Amino acid sequence: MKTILKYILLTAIRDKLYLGILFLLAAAFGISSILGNTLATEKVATSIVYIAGSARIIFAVGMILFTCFYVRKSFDNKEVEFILSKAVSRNQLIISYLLGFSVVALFILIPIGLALFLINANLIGLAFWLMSIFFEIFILISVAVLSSLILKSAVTSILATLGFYILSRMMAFFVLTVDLPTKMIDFNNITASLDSLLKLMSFIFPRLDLFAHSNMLIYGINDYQFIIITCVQSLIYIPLLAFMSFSDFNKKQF
Amino acid sequence: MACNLFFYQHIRKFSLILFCSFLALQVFFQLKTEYIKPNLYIVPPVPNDKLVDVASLGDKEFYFRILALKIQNAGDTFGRFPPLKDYDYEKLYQWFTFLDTLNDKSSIIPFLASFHFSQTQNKPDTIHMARYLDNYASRNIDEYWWWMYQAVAIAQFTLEDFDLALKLAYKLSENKNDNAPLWTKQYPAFVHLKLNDSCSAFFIVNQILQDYDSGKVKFKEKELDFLHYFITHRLNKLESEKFDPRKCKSGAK
Repeated sequence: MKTILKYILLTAIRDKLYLGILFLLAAAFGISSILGNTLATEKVATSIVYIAGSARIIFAVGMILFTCFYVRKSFDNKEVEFILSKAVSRNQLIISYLLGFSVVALFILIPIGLALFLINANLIGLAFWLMSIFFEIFILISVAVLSSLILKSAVTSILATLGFYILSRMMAFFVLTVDLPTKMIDFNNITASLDSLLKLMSFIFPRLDLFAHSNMLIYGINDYQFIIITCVQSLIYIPLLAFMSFSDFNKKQF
Repeated sequence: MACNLFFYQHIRKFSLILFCSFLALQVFFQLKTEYIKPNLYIVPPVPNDKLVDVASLGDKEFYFRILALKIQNAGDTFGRFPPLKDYDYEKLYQWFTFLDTLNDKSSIIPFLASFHFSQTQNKPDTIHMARYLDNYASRNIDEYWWWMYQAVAIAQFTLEDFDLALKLAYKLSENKNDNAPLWTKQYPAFVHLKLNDSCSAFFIVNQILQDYDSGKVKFKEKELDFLHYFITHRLNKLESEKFDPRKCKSGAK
């Protein structure tokens, strides 16, 4: 397992996509600082929020692309079959992938944290924000690994993971819509079925909208409930996706 | 067979004719649709508050600061720099109120209302800014007394609506922030003097002095100097006007 972990790290360093994420983050830091300084007041606070917001998008999309391309490439050039021919079980391979990609994600978090620390983000808020964004990316990596195992093409697995990410970030709206009183909407068979669909989605998708709020980087932590929710959600959802991956991968025939 | 041969011999001509026809159609289409232009509004429509959760993708702070930048630069697009008199201030008020629902701690919006949008050439429009600042500061006058003062200043100096300024000045004087300067308590007296109501001004200053004597409030040395100067300056004027405080009804407001 250690060897696979090292291999993932080595390929990440060699991969232009991974280096591209770091380059894009540097560009986002510069643009965010310039944009933040164009505001009449609260220039530093605005720069912090812009850096955090843009870094999260680049980080998430970059890791989805990297994971999906990596896993699909491993299948296409028979790398997976080669690894499985050694003394590595299928479940171990999945765990190695998840851990390897999360270590790769941790290396990207370091410059993000450093940049936010240097421009005076709230320290406690920064610590929890980094933890929260790490969990968010870990969930995305798990989804990307699962979709790459299920779907045959890298492009479709990327699109599926991106769709999952956007829907999960919109969960607050879905939950709100489900709770709308029936008097407020034109209640008929179609809206009733849509309502049920939204309710079903709200059970299946994680509440990523509660993760990594950038206001904690300025005002610190006022409500620790969000931190607990973030941890509990991650502890439930990451194993759920890992077990789904085990189940799918164990059925696969080469 | 002959038909096919004819087609292959003239395919280049057909292609050229078809290309020219579709190019002519495209030019004709553009001529008929060129009146459809983007709406160059100055203040954009206020976003729907129900859709915030969709548009913000869970990060309201990021969304707030993006929109704050958008409203600060509203109108300054496509090479335009419209004067503030052309802005729709009612819509700006709605924008500011909406943005407060995303972040009510930031001072970006009251700052823009006080120092940017209140500089309009069309002075009656500033009533919306005073109204917004009043609502913003009234939530917590102890913390946001500075923004209430800005509302008073707009009402007094820009709108010259002294009744409104007086109402806001009384709200300003209610703050209990230890760091707020003495003049925040004294401000209703300044406005009363503008309204030539010496009695009310007298009672306010008298009340401040009584509070000081009883130890309810503490002043810094420079604040006492200012109060001393104010009283001396006013006493000279009141003497020349033959003002008699005994003729005042107590507690006048």
